[in-house]
Amino acid sequence: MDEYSIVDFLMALTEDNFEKQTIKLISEGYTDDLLLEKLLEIIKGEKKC
Amino acid sequence: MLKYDYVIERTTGPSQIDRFSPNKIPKELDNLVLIEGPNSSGKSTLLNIIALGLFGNKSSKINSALQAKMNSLLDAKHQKLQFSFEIKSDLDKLIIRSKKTDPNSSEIIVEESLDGENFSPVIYENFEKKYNLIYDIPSNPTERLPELLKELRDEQRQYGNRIKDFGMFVHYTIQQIEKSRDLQRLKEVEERLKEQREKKKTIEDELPSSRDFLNMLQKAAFIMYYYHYLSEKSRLETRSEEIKKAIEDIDKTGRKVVREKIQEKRKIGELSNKLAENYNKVTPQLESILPKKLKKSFTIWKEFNPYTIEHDELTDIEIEASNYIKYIQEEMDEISKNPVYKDVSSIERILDLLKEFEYSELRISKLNVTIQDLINILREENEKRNSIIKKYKNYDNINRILNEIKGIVKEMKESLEAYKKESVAAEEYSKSSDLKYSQLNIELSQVTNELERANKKCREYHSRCILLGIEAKKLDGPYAEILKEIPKNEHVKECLALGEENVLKTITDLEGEISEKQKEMRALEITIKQYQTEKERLEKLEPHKYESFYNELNIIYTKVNRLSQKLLSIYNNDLNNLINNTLKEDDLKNNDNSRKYFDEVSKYLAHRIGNFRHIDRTYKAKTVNLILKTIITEDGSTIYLSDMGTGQSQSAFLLSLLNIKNDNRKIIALFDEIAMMDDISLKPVYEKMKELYYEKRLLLGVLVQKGNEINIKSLI
Repeated sequence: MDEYSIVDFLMALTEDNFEKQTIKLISEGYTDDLLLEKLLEIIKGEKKC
Repeated sequence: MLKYDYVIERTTGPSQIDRFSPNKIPKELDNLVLIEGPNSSGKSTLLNIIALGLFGNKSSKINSALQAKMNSLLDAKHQKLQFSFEIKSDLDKLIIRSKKTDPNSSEIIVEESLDGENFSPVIYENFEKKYNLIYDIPSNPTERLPELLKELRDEQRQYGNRIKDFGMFVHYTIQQIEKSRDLQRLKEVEERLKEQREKKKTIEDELPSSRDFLNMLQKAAFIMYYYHYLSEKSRLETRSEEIKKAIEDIDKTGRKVVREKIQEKRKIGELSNKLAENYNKVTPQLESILPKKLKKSFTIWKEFNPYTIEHDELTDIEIEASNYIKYIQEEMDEISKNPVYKDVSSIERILDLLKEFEYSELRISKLNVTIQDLINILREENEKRNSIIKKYKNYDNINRILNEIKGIVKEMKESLEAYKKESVAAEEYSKSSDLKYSQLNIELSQVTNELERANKKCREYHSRCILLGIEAKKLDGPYAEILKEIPKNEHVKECLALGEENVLKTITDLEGEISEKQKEMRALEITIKQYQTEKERLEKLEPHKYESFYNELNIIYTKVNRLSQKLLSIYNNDLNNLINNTLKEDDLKNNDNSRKYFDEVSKYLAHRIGNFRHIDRTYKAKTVNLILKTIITEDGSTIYLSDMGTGQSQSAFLLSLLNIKNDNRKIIALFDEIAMMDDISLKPVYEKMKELYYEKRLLLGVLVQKGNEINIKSLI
């Protein structure tokens, strides 16, 4: 049986990569500081594109 | 290993208390165990105590019937509970224990030990983070599926709150950047500073040329107008003198004419008084001497006004006087012919001769009298004839007065004539001089006003020239010299051609413009100083490590807020509608977001159920539609929940409770009343629990079902 978690559920509802990554990082227990670092990278990456 | 004990003292009557403690089920059990037993053997009580001891009465995902059972254990009115239990992992050193030692208090103390020796207290919030207490009695699985949604709602909320908290952290970070060196603000300040400095420079460039032009125009205009008014002043002064002299001449001539007229009038007055005096004196005398034939004319005489200055009346007086003189003279001639009068006259003449010798002692011997005596004798003789003398003398006196009256009348008539002539002359002079006098006075007034204005202008332009730095002595010097001071400039020349009023207006306007520019300069200097200070202050501030990501942080803040909003509000509402069974298929038709959410929930529930038995086959759920109450399987079958056997649906439900991914919390699973499930239905549940146990995710698993006798079966 393949497992389906609340994270999978919430990620499926997200509208973009940023939201997806936010859910994922939170599920991985990232602290505020680290979460901010990661999300900044995502935003910067999006800007470059 | 589960070790436990408890005591329940329950009041069952007025003086009866029943005491319950575990006496059928062993007080030590394996970590994964199936308990079978008859009613009142303590199976459910054990599960209730374990769940209560692990904050089960506070967990919203445990159904209300079980919550009520747990809370009834704490009801101190009819029963008193004491308990303690300890769950020790067989696979590591984790121990969790709970106890309630005071039967009268609801206080429960939960502790954990990670090393098997040292315990520390655990509060509900921390317990929730580390342990997942699953306590269920799957009596009606069809109705119980929404329970999963409550669990989903709780977890969704947890994520929503976590994201919201993170949003607050981002907001705080943004505020910190704003309080520290705000690069955006610094950039703004620098731009404003540059802008203000450029404005100032533009004005600084414009001001000198404006000032120079103003100075040239002022110099040229003020010098020119000063000389103009100086010349005007001189002309007006000359004219003023001329007018004054002309007025004075008129005054002098006028005064002479009037003086002469007054003298004549005064003379006429004096003569009139004299005439009246003589008239009044002579009139009674005339009355006494005039004969009857003249009485009529005398009546006219008496009616004369002695103070008259009328020419005709004066003539009448003169005529009457002449008539009286003539009459009196005739009378006097008659008297003089009288011998007596002759004698008297002779004697009078003699007396006059002798008068010189009146006191002489010379004696006339022949007459034997002295001259004195002779004089006396002659006087006596004359005294005898005195009346005729008196009469004559009276006539003579009257005539003298009348002649005097005539003389006065004559003189008066002459004076009146002269006065009349002088009056005519004065009137004629007055007529011609008055107009001229008036014109001259008007002109003088005008000239005086103009002179005053010219004087004022002179002083004004003189002061202005001095203020411009032109030396006073140069201004007092010849015009040719001062001309050198007048700037030669085409624009100034053009401007001066517009006339004094326009030139002065131009000067005022220019002064206003320059003043405005200077004010603007001062305002700009203040603003520049403020921006400079702000710039220096901002530069001195320590930079925040994220200051260069200010914009990105704001984007993150907006995005995470939106996400938390969706989880805590929009999706939460959708989920509540599902839980409350108020969502209808029609609600989803025009709402793409709700449709998507509903589809994902359906998938989520299917994954939670996973594989399940139905009739004689095992299916894998693909979606669970809680509106239609159906399960769509991976192979495309549609199974109505109502068609599923109770045991099968219980099994599916218990599996859904255990199918939890990405959750590292230790599971404590307590399942009551699973008797409806047969071995085939229970098998996937056992397998799942074993799998979780060996993955160290299940700390304790207790399944309870009804049996005829106590039977404890370890599943590990």
